[in-house]
Amino acid sequence: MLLNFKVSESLLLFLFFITISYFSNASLADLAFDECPSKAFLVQGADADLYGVNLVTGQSTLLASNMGTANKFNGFGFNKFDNYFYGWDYQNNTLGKVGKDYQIIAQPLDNSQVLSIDGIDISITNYFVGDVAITHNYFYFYKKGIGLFRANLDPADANYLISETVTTNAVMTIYDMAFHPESGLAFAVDNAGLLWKINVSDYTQTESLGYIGYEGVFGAAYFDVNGYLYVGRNSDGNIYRIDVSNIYSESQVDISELSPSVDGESWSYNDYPPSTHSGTNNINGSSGNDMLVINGNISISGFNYNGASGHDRLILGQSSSYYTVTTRGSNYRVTWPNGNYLNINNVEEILYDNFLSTSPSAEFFANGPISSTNDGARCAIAEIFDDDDTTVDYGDAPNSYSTTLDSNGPRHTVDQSGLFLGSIINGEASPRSPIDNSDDGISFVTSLEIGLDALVDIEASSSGYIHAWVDFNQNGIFDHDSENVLSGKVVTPGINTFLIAIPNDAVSGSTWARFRLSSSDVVLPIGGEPDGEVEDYVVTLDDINITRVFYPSSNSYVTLAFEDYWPEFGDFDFNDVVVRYRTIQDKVEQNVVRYTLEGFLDASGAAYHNGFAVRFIGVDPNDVNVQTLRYDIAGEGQSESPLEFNYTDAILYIFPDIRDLYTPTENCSLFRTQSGCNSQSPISYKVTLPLSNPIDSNAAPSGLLDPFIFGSNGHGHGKHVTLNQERGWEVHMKNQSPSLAFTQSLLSAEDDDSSGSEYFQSSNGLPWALEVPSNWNHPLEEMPINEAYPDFIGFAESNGDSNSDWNSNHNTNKVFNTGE
Amino acid sequence: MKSFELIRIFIYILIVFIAGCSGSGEDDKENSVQGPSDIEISPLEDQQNIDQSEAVSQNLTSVQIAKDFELIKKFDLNILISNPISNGRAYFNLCHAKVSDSLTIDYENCVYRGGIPSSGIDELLTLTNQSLRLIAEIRLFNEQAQSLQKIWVFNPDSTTQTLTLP
Repeated sequence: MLLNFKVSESLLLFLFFITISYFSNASLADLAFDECPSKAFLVQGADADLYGVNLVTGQSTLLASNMGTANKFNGFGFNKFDNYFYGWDYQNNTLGKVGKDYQIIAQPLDNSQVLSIDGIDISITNYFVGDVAITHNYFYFYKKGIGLFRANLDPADANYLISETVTTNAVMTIYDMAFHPESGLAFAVDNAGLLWKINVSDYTQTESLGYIGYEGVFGAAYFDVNGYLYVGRNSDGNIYRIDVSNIYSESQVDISELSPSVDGESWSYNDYPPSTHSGTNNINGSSGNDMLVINGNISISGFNYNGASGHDRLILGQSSSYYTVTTRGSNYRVTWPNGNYLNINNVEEILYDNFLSTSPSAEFFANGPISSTNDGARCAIAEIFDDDDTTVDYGDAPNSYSTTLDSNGPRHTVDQSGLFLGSIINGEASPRSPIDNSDDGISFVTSLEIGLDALVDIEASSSGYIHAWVDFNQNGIFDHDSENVLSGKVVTPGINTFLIAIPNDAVSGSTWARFRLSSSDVVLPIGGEPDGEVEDYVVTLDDINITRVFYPSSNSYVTLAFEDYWPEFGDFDFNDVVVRYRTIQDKVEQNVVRYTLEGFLDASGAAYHNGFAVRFIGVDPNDVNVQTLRYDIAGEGQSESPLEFNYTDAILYIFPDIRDLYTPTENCSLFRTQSGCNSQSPISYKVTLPLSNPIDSNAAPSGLLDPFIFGSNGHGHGKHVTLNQERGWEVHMKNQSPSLAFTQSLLSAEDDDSSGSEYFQSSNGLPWALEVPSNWNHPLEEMPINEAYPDFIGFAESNGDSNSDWNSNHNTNKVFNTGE
Repeated sequence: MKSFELIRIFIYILIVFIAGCSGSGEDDKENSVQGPSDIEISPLEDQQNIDQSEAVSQNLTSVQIAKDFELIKKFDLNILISNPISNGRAYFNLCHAKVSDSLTIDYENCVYRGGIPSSGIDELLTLTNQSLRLIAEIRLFNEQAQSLQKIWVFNPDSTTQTLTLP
């Protein structure tokens, strides 16, 4: 009678929970998440606080301090079939369900099947390891020493909310698990840092895939749609990323092809210590050709394998760099990273690399929240970032330095009232190239001279730690240690000055530097940070005692605008060749040692084939170090030397034939001189001209030098120019004499009125070339300069005394919109 | 008769259209340039097809510009800088302000950067009218040291421009 009462009582209680559950589910129907969320969720603490975690930066935000429980909620995961989270509800010792109101609703399980078959009462304990499968609608939960179980989550299924046993072989010391988005496999990292692949459909295939390089309690595990596993370590909040797609368990050794063949005993790591040898310290092979295959890690030490007289083999599933293998004759000791070892005697052959990938490798990914109790979940079929998310700041260096999210580049949560460099911070959905315009916090006060200290000013919005790296050897990566020039230096609000040491073995030239400001005193050049900012800079590593003179300045240009109808008047739209132009003169003491020319071809409204060149008056071409001369067009190094050797003054042919640089189209037959042709981009150039014989600065050319345009041979250049002698046609700045390559007979022809020291001007002083002291919106095709720039004539006729800023006052519809 | 009239009008329109296509040299540019291989112009063709002189603005042909005016205003600045410490490294920057008229130096926008030798700096710089106001600065290689700064402004009343520091 008493028994009947208890059964009836239990039944009523069960029916009650089912009824409550039904109505709860009905009322929660509209509380399902609207979509598969990209953020991760983290439950922390003894009374279940729920946080949203941006895995990109590690930033966490408290979503709910009250989930409707006074106890823990753990082992939870997102169910893509109904858009709810499920986990283990400690308060009710059963399954819990969470919708977008973040409240836990108990989902009582029918555990009778597990109890009757395996004799396990599931409800007597709690489960802090769990997740919802991706390929089928089940919640899996695990506890070491008890088992792995699952519960059906499909209300239409006859087994709905009925628990089942997957296995009672529960040896993994894990704290969370996560399902891969495609394979149906779950993964977890144990406290020893071993990555486990958990096959929930055939648990005998569950295995350790190796050491990830980090140990601890990994209380949160997540997957993203690309198959990356993210695990968060409780002790320091570090989030690590593991690409499990590169870990293979298929044997790469075809045992059937081994010679001599294996005809003795063969053990796999699962056999070691083999059950048949349980309790012994030795494995004794037969007299045949034995084989021991170690595919994973064995948490034992001091065991021995003794081969007998055959051709015994040891097949190591990890790389030799992972194992430490020591030998004495045919006796081997294999030592694992945790110090455990295995002695193997009488081995005749070792085969390595039994796996395609030798070991899983975890990389630090982001600085997440620290916790003593937590569990993570996210929708594994979602990316970890939103394409429209502009709350993250990225670096800008080329991706060889790890810049993009996929490359685990540096990332910071943008907080415009928080911690950042300089006076502004902007977020971006992806790294900007080449430079983020909010990178304004670092000032290189001095040049970076090899073997000496350099000064940098760093402006911080508030207190934090600054970290910096410079690619001294120019190998395209930041070495985390040897190129770390500032490591966790304290900064206070305002300007902070630091000395950074440039090593003697640094390579001179242009390279990249990365600065990161954070509230963390330990930061790498990669990975996410929940606050701060990253700024990447192009820097130049100089030889000692370099002085640098810029014309017009180090970040501005003059614009050179040419008419190519000389010696006749043309339409004077001054857009036949338009070049942005800057010169840099490097000196050591009083001697010029190097020139640099850089800028852009902005436009070419010419039918003729023109080239653009610069003459270095007084520089013998034989004094140029051609071995180290560098010549780039559109960022690409050019194999042909631009240097002319046939004349006494060095001439650099920067653009030998501008017509070769662009492809005319139906609507844009010319280059950036017609309306609607803004999609054509300016073409950059840079030439570095080192001098093998330095020139006294009093004799060396400086400032503008002598830029000019010339005719490209073989294309004709008007009635005054003989075919195939077009190179002799040049147009220089007003009153600049031509080069020795110039055809002197052209002077004073037609409208030209050159005479004496007066060159390239008409009788009324009109030039065919202009130097405009700034970036410039050149006139549209056929638009005379005085119509595009109404102040030009006043400026010209007044000797520049009037309308001195003529070049900044234009008729918008008569100039090319450069889009800058 | 009517058909003849129509044909006559059509031919007239065609002539006007063709004439419109072959006007100034710049028009030739627009219509003849299809690609680099299409633009091979012999000197003879050049004379006929790229006659731009008619396109010159009458305002420009009548303008009177001094023969020696090169249509840009430039000047030379003599910088005379001495090292403020006798046996230590010092560095000199001559740069624009970050924002016009501000006192904050912009190290990204300089006209001169270099160490100061024991003999000092005596240099003649050619500058455009974009550099009428600059900030000169001496820095010591010391994280605690204050910088020595001076605002230099172009003097329109002087035929020579000089900057001396300190």
